[in-house]
Amino acid sequence: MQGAVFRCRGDYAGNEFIIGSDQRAFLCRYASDLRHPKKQDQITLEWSYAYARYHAAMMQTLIVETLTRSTVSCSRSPGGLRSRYKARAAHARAFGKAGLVHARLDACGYAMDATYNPIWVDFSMFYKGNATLMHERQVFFLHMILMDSDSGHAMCLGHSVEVIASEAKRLSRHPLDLFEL
Amino acid sequence: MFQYLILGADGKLNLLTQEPDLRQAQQTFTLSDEQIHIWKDVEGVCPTNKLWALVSQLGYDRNIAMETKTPGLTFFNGQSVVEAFDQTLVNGDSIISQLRQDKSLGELEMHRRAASLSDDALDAALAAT
Repeated sequence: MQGAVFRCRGDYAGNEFIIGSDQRAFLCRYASDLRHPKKQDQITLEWSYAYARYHAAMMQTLIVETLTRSTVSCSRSPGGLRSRYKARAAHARAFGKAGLVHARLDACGYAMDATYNPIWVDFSMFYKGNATLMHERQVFFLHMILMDSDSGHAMCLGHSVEVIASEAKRLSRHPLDLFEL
Repeated sequence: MFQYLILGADGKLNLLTQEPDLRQAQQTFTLSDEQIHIWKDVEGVCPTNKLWALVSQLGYDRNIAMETKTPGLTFFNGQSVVEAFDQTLVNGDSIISQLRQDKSLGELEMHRRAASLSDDALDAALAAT
């Protein structure tokens, strides 16, 4: 992945690429000891291309051969949800209905860079009560993170979006589907 | 390392930085040489006094705000800036955060390009898995 970035004249990202399989697929911070996935496994990736400190972070869990499908994919965009706390509440409701409150992270996004020291997060997070409004010409990373320690399954999707009028336009060409390899 | 970017209400930008970052600023920043100011690191120097002197020299003498919620500012340097000024500094976090998150068209294009290439990185991961 880093090679693909360098081939396109990109830079090191503000955060390490997070690559974890098996139980490490639950992590959303970098950890040493990268390993090869097992024959049947799950891999969580969180990465971003970077150029001149500008990022477009993404996150995706890949399924290596089919595991039990106990996870759901949540891709709700903040269209019409102008406040960050409303977007977070929609995220909480969606996973609440799916019975996955125990597995979800509480916050679900933040603005994209460019800050120093290099980091691709531009705070504040989409946390409960955050009334900061989202405006046109702003770029956010929205992440739907499920880490089910009980079942041993991870399912994470994160994408960068640009706010256009009242819509959030996905900046990825990849589909919102499950990635089963 | 101590560098500060000064944004005036008139929209003018000035950078106070060190010599190793001079050429970095010339080559990679959108600043002209007149907007780049150097402080020299020698025993006993206080860069925050240099900052105060530069701000005064630029004609800014009141309503000065400071960004504090930034990963690049140590507690030591933050305290030193507060002590260097002869007035209470206003908290500028919300001003800077808003300005930074409102992207110019050029910046939006950078993010879109980054997203396209992040997609390429995922393709590389899928091919290797």
